[in-house]
Amino acid sequence: MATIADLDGRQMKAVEKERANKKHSELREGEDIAPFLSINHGPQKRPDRFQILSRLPAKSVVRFKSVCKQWLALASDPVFLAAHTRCSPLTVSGLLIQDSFRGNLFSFSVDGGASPVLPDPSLSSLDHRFGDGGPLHVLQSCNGLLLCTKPGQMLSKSHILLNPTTMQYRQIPNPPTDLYSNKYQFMLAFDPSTSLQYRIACLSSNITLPSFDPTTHVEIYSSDTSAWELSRETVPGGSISQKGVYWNGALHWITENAFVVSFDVEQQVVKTTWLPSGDRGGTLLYFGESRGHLHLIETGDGKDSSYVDWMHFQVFEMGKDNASWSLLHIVDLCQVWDVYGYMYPTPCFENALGISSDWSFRAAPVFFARGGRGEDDMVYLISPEKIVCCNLADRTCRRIFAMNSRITLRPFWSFKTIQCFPFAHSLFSP
Amino acid sequence: MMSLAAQKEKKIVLRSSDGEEFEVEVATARQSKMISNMINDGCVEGSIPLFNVDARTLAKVIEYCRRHAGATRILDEYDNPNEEIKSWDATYIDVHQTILYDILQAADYLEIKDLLDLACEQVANIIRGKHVEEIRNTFNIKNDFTVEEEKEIRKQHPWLFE
Repeated sequence: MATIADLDGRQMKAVEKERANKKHSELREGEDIAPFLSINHGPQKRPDRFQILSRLPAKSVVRFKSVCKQWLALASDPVFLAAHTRCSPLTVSGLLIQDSFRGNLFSFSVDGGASPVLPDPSLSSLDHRFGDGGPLHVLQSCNGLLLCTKPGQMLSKSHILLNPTTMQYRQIPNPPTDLYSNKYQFMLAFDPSTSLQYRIACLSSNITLPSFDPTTHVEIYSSDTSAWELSRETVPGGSISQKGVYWNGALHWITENAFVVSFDVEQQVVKTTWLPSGDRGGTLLYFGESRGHLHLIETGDGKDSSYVDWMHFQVFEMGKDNASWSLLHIVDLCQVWDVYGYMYPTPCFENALGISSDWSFRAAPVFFARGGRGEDDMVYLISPEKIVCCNLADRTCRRIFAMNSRITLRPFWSFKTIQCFPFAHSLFSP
Repeated sequence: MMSLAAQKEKKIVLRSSDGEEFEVEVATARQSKMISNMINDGCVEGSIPLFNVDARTLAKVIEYCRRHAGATRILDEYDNPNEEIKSWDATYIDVHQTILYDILQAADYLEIKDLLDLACEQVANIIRGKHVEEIRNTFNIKNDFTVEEEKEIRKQHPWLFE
């Protein structure tokens, strides 16, 4: 209920504004919006410029530091950065490709732009920041942050949370080893649209080989407490066949037994579902998240087949309100191959283990991008020669990156040694 | 509380800062949180003076409120703004910077959140994709850095200035 005093206040405010307006109307045209964008705007200190500038992409905000001193101050203001992190939409702008056998990392823009998408496209400036042991190894990309580890000593492996846009990072303390000494997998849960708190989950056990472990424990690190805590829930054991995905408030991963495990980090609730193919077989090619949906790509062949048919795959989707898989696309790459000469025109078959030293015939899906308003669904495929973006609506295909002498991809024994991480630009400091 | 139908028929008068009066439906006026509060408190006898909004801006703001009050469904089944309203909004806000600024101020003052969002987004769209120099020209912002200072900032982010 507004009181008379409030109304008086409102009128006072109006008078003040009118004064500001009058001053404003004396300004030349072109300065109209400038007061809104400046730091000391009029008598009332309202966060108008926050509302406007926090809608800009992270890269623009950084670039506009050189507009004037006020913008520089704003772009460095923690309050503004938090507001920006909360409301700036996180759209994937680049892909980070990692050859985990050789440790190579490189990044490129999803639209095929030639300019770098990251200040340090191979993250090599951090190579010696955390002691010896070679380059950083990326485990997961999640809403503007990368969860990385330093390869080398298994037990004293340290984990690093990195914002590749600002190159700010935080070293995460190791979880305690007294209860469960084996740490299988680290996963990051971060969604700035709901909270600026992040959590890291670690699957841990007393059993050395995850395959022999019927149930696994979860330890959770929270940025609020900077400490690890053991979850009261356990999750199904077994090796994890794809990197973890944070989606819809829960971490998701797929075990070797074709279970999709979902772990709600906040509520600590565990749910288990089957892969869409169930026990029918099919090779899992991709597991990821795009525009609020969870996606999974499997080849169409059955388990009785001794070949993996890389040319045909199916894209499945799960929505936030619908906890079951629905078939979104059936893709036949032969069509695309024929039209676009830069891929091999023959469909090929590889053995079911995915083991092959000859990778040259193959292209593997590394990112499924669900179309936004007025956009088509896209799938990104990687082959030793190039990275290609395939439009699944009109079946056109374009090359967005060509390997060269500096950047090559030769998987050592399996396509699984090549990993791809879609990333978004954020100004969040971990 | 009046019934919705009664609200629709009932009209109130808004007076702009330059003295022009606009008769609007209550449902239209209620798009403004500030006016809506005043209606709830029963302070709308006669006309409501809006000291901060001139006739040109007020007419434009009323156009927005009328369209949004009349829209039966602003959100589709996925909670996204409905396409029709969205394209109407896009045409509506495609105005000269001077008017855009007036709308921003009026939406802020009258507490019309959706309109404020729309106007902010439009300014952000003007900024997006522009070079630093273009931004300075568009908004007439004086570059208060020395040559060395500017060089230093750009040196810190070479990947963005290539």
